[in-house]
Amino acid sequence: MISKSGQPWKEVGWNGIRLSVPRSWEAGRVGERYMLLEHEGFPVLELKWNIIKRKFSTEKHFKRLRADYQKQQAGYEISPWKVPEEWYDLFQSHDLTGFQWEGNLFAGKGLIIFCKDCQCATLLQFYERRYIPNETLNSSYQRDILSSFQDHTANGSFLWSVFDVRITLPKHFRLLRHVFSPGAFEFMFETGAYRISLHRWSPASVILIETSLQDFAEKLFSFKSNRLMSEIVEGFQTVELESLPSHSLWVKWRQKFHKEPEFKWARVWHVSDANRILAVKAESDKPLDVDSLHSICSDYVIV
Amino acid sequence: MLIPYIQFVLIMSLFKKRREHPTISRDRALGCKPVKNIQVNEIRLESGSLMLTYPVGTRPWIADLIRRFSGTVQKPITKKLELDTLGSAVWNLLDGKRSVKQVIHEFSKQYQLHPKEAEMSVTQFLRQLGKRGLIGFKE
Repeated sequence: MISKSGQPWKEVGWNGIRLSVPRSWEAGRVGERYMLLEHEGFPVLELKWNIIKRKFSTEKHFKRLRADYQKQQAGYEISPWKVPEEWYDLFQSHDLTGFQWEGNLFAGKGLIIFCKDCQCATLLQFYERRYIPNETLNSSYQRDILSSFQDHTANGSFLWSVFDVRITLPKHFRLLRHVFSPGAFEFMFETGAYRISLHRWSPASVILIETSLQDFAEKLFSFKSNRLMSEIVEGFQTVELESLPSHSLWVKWRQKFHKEPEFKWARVWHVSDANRILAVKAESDKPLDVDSLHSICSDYVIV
Repeated sequence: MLIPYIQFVLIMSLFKKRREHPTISRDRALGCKPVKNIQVNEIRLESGSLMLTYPVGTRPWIADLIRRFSGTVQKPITKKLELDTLGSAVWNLLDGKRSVKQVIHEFSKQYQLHPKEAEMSVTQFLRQLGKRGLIGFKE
């Protein structure tokens, strides 16, 4: 993806928010509704958002924010900032209030954005390093980023794209937890019908030195599989495991006692070109719709 | 008995001399070159990974006590550290010429790792090696 300013860009998405940023910007910190993007280890863009069910005014929120910072005596003050006229064109169905601040090391310019359609309030701010003279973020960059900003989509799906993984999931998939540790990523979602977790491991070449993909999958998901399939799917070596309810009364009683779901399904595949292993696991008390799980797997990719 | 002891520890911690940690910028830290301790011996295992053996010095006052009471001079203790495949790969990249940033880049390229992921794992690993005295850093 190339931006209007001629730089290679990528799309980042998390829990309802999506936007395009320069390729070198990486997620430094990710929360449930929070993202801090960094460039070479320094913060460049911060986003916080939430769905507001009551009436919301960006100006009132700015005043509250300012008062909070004054109370905290953070060492810097937040002051109003006049949003450039052209930025209003980018946010026609939104209310906007601009703000700025200056600290010892960093300065920031930001927006409080409220979408009247989806009731999402977002606090977005660009950072600048003050100790590097004349470092100001190119305003065309800022404009490109803001023009790509989306807090809702027409098709009701959310993009989840951080680091090197990407997937689009229906809006009703609620994020339960996420872990980004070196070598292993995990996102867990819950829908009304089932619980699903997405995994990513690297480097696959090291993981698969002493173990096969099948052993790795079985050890990892540690459920007794009634059906095991190992074949090439969509060009990747794939292992699929499925556990169906047992007829044994003892097993049924144990599952009920431990609140273990009766139906379990997992697919693990080796993306050899990227040296990664991806996996999707689903659990439910009701029979799982394997076709929809297969389409989730097809959409879960390394970028 | 336990509560007065905890109180004592808490009070004494107020008087504890706090060591100031020197601050170093990220760019400077990444520009440092890790250098292997010359006393470290490398043994290549059959699996291809490395076993490092290194001498550990006893604190001078403990060595002095041992000498006084036993009348013998304590032999240096040798410790062993087995590195896994990734640890061995990073260790092999330490040639005293490459900076931390270059080591991260090489390691990331070798295993097609995400740069952020490679940076986190390599810096954590180098910190551990530094704490054990297996490497030092030069600017």
